[in-house]
Amino acid sequence: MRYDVCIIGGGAEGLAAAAWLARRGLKPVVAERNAACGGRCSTREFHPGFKASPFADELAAIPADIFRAFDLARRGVVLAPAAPCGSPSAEADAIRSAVIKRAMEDAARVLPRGLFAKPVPSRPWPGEELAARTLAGATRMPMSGTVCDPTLSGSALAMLAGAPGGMAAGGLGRLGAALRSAAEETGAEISCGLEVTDIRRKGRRILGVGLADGSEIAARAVISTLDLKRTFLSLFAWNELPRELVERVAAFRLAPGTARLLVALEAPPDLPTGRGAEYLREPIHVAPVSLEDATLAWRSAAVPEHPPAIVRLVTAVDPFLAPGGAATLTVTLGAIPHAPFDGAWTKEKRDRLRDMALAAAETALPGTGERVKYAELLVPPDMESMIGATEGDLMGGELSASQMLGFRPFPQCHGTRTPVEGLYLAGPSSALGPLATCASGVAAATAVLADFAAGRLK
Amino acid sequence: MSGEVLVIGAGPSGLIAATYLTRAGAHVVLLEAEETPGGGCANRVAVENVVVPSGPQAFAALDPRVVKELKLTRHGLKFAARDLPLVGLRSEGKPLVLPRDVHEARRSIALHSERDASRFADFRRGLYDFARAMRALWWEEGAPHGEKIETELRRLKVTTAGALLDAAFESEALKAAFAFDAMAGGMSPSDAGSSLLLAWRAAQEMCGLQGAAAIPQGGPASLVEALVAAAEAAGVEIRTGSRVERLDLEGDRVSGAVLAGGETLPARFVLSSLSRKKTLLEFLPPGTAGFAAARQIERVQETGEGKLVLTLGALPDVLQMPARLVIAERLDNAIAAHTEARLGRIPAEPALEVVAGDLGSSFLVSVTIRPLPVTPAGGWPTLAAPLIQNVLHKLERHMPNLTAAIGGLNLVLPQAGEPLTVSHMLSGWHARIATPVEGLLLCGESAEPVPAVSGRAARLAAAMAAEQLKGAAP
Repeated sequence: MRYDVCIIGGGAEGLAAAAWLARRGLKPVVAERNAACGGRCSTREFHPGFKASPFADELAAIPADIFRAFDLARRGVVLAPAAPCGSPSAEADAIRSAVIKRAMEDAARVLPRGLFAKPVPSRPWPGEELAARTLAGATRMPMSGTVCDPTLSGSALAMLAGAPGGMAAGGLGRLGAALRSAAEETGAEISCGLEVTDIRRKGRRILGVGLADGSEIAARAVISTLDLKRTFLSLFAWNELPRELVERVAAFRLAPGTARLLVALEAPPDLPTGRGAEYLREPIHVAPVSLEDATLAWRSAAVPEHPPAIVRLVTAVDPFLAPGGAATLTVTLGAIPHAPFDGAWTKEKRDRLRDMALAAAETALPGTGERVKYAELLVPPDMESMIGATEGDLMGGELSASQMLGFRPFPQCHGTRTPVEGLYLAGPSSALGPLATCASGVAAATAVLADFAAGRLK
Repeated sequence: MSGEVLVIGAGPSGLIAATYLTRAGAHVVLLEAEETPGGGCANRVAVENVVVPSGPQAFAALDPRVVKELKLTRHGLKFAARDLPLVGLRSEGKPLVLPRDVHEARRSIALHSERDASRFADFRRGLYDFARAMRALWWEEGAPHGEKIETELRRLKVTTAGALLDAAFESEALKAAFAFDAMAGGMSPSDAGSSLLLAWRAAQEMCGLQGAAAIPQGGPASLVEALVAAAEAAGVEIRTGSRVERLDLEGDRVSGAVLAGGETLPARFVLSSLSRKKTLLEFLPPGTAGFAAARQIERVQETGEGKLVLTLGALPDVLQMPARLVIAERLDNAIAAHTEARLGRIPAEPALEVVAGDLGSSFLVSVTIRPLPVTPAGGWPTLAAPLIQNVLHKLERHMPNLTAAIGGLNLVLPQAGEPLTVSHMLSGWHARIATPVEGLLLCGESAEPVPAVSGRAARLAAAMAAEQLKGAAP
């Protein structure tokens, strides 16, 4: 059986791409490695009765037209109003929508062959001027869900990425399920438990993908929702790609890893004195004395003494994530090394990190310490093995000026196309990845449709 | 007609501007606050029994047209070395020698990494081509042309030097050596646009050689001597010991300067080789530059470079051959050092550049330390000694018995300049030279895309003033 498009990864981007393609009459298949699809958009019962989304509490906003096109409201996706954290400015909002529009336009355009051979002239992307201004130290504060390195110039661009889309009622898993139903309804095939190990080509033509069990899925085009490094460095044989491309991918910079602690509390913590009720609903940033020191420690592969932390009482927004009278809390720690300089993550190191996270929770919400029933820690290697985020970098690459907007992942890619003909990149490392949810999947699908229409993919 | 043009500051830029203007027929008075001309190139820092300049020892940016047009060679300027190779010293392994000759450089790089050696020529060709195109923006009116160059410019202005070097090379020795040049003006190799500093460096033509560095015979002071001789030959009136207190305005136009003693000098044009901040905020009544602009100008550079000057009885082996020695182990160290310096701490691993000069009876070694905090937490008096210790310790690792040969030393503290920004680096020369006040032009280092002794801004400012004078004459 031959498919038109094989989509690697059944996260939000992969499902959105599948739905978009199937609605336009193509035959896509989604290959998801885990037993259930959803990727970042999944919710798990980590302790009897307690649920949490293990990788993020909220994702970047879904563009309104995509939200409508997939009929997500009817499918039960209810987003709690976005938290006022990071206060995205009107300028950032305008730039973000202009960038999304531009990426979709570029995706719908057919570009000349051989991206690296012939530089395609293009006008500057919206927001590039902002990127060019040196904005070192502009975000000393961690943005929603992500923790930025303040020593990076242009880190203020992360404010584009930090647009919170709000928490989905019932956890992000509900969003994943809704996207899955949207894709399946249109006829897309979704197979879980299929691990793609390589992309098969004959000459410059894509034949399909090879799976871990030795079988093969034949397809004319492939959309990868993995991050850039995983896509190019693990799905191809070492000598298959041009050296220039491999070196370029290797030089792509990753952001610091993230660790998450999922905590089951016997009872909700008390509202600290002097705070309004809103305090509990917002992500609480426990910023270290010096965010610079934390990122310096990460650079030398050490666990920072005081990592930046975001504490979030998810049950304050969505009480159904915990049994009655109990509460669920998450702590996101930034600047955590994937491979500590003194060896792999042992139980002692995990326990130490767990205590750090609980201390941050105690700082943000005094009294949580004595109510902890159970806590589960996910360190960067866990993130890598669970959802394939290289080195536990959930952002899919550093959010610095030269890796944002039209420069992500390479300027020649125009957001979604890659130098490998027939391979398209969606997901966190693509131009739209950090800016919006579902948008990069839709952009990749748009590019595939345009190239099919132009007779590019045989 | 007396008091036609005043030039403030008799550093190299002031001298060059004054000479050009006089030769164009204007009457020029050059005002210098100190007793001798020269600015950062004059011998003012005492080390043991000699005095040395506070500025750089080697020059990389002096405009060859200035040298030719002012006949500086006839006025006594000679170069002891015209083409200093860049040598990266390593704590382990062979030093990395990077001469301008690409084949020799390749051979040296191959000892560190075969892969980098094969890519070096391409990297440098790309950089040189881009740099040549950028001259159109930096020193001529216009923008760089060509689709390829425009795309490259769009990319480089958001690219950090760190990312550029990481993408190009694998050898830490090579990356760290290059990163030193990407740290001018307090910029960190992790700042967006710091890759433009590499391009700017490559765009220079020192002694007609692209991307070279040279040492004048007799040190920077001999450049000043040549410039003074050229100025005097042209008929410039140099008034030393005349500190400008403020500038007088007549409407929107500058009308003269008031000296510290109270003397008023009328002028139709004033060219200032001092910083933009000093010129616009201290010499003029508040608000003249516009309040938004003033806020922009007011920002102070957090990190700068310091210099440790040593006199030695004998030169260590590694310094025998004229070269710029860079001691920087890793690119990441440079980035971390900037972070530390921005937090007001003395970095543990700053990058060092060592240049040696001959004083006749002894030798002068100047060690540029990048980066250092301009105002460290704790104050310089307590921090200077440990810093000197640290630097000497690092030098000693590469130059055994250096400490024993030291005659005297002095630490030149970092000066708070104006923070270098990408938008400044990418503005045309007209925007850098002109000020909101009519008749007042900048001709010093703050009118250059990147602060350096180049004389280009001075030459252009003089041409601009001369043209307007000619137009205004009846």
